[in-house]
Amino acid sequence: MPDNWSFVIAAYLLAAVVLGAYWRHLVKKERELEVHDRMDRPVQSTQSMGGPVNQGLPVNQSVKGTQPRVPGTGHLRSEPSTRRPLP
Amino acid sequence: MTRTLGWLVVLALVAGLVMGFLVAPRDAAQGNVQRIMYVHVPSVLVAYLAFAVVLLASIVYLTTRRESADRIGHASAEVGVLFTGITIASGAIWGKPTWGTWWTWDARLTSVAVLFVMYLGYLLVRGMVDDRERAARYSAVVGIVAALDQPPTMLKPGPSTMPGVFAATLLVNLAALALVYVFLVTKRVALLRREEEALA
Amino acid sequence: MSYARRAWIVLWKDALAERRSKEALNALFFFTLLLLFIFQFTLGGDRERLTDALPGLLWLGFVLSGLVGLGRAFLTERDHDCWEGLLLSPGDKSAIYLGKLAGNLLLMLLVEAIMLVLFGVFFNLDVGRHLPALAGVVVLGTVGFAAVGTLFAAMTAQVRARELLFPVLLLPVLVPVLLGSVKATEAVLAGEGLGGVTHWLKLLAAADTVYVAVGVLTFDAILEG
Repeated sequence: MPDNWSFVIAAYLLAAVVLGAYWRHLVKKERELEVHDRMDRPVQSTQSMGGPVNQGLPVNQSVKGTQPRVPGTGHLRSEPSTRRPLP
Repeated sequence: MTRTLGWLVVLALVAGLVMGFLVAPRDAAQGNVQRIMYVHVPSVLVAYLAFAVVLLASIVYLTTRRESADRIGHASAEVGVLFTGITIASGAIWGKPTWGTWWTWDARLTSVAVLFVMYLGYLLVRGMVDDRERAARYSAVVGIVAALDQPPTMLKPGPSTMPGVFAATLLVNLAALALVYVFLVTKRVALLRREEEALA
Repeated sequence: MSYARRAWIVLWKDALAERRSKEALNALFFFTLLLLFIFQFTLGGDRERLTDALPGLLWLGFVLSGLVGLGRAFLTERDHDCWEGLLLSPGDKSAIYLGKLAGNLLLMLLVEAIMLVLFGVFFNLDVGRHLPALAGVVVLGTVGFAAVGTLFAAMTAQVRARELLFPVLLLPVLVPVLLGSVKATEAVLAGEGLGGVTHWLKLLAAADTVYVAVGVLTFDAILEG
């Protein structure tokens, strides 16, 4: 049976492209949010970012946010305690 | 922590590729096209895992209204749809040289295609309902209905009489793709959390 | 007010409104007639092919008219600002779901009965001979259809792109029910009886139970807010 390597490469490449593109999309959105955050709170930065946004985005993504976060309450909306949970 | 996970993913993927291309021998019947199975089978299994997570997260959300459950469900559905798409595409790419056709309407292929469309619907609900909280409730219901709708045909086992090295290669690749799933979902959940905070 | 009574009141209100205006029934009757014409124009050339396709066409007709009918299920509540009335009603809201489900089921069964008669007349389908078995299959399939349909109709009633989202959500979920129903109908119309398709019938019954159960359990969450 002929080996059809082109099909094998195509399949692996497709998987790589799909997953890679999604990951890049996530990274891009994360960077956009960081810019957004920094524009909103320029005074409160607890680490020196190298100044305002137009100096370029830091690539390091393990940078913590500019506000201290309490673990476990990542969302700001309060739990809807008034709602009845499902029986 | 995400750094370690990220490197672990890369390691696992490399291991999977090494197993798939260098260690596993050429299949006697199908030739090297059979190596596509090392992408196709783990993809479909990870997709099922993803949708099982969506089911659990949806139930948890509806009973407790915890927003973390909602975020996990949302992220898992997105990644699950990706893996389902990869499953269908890699299956078609395998099918063309093997069966001579890109597609056939047999039970398993059809059920995967329906699965794909169902969870696309889940994501559509997320996209089209503006109120975040309503979107969460509605998609949780869709996530539950879609999961319960999977007919038992999908669980029909493949050949279990595989020689050891093939099975081992499959397992390594499965572990690799499962790690990719965990990595992507973790990142997506974190992103969802930040998006909500940005809006608040 | 008891649970059953509340469900009954919803059913009674819808049935009464429909009997007075006959809006849905007339439109749906007309729609089924038009469907028949379309089936004839697209497939009617080859008599053999049409006869072979009849079980599928029958259910295709049921699905299309069902989509139209179910899509309007919560129309009155939405258009006449009665939604708050639903939300404020006391007790377990799933009673409303069951009432709506019963109403939709009756409407769909009525339309399907009409379609069967029309198929009998225009496509020479001998409905009478296999009627009990056929009726059983149609009811089984329609219950599942109505169960998920009512749930999703409530969900999409207030959504922006309702006419798009409703069928997109409903149709994939209906695939197992559709498959089972068509297979069983094929067997019945071929004169084989239901003996050979018991696994499909079991699937249908199981699916129906699951759908109604999910509807009852989650309707509250759908209606909220």
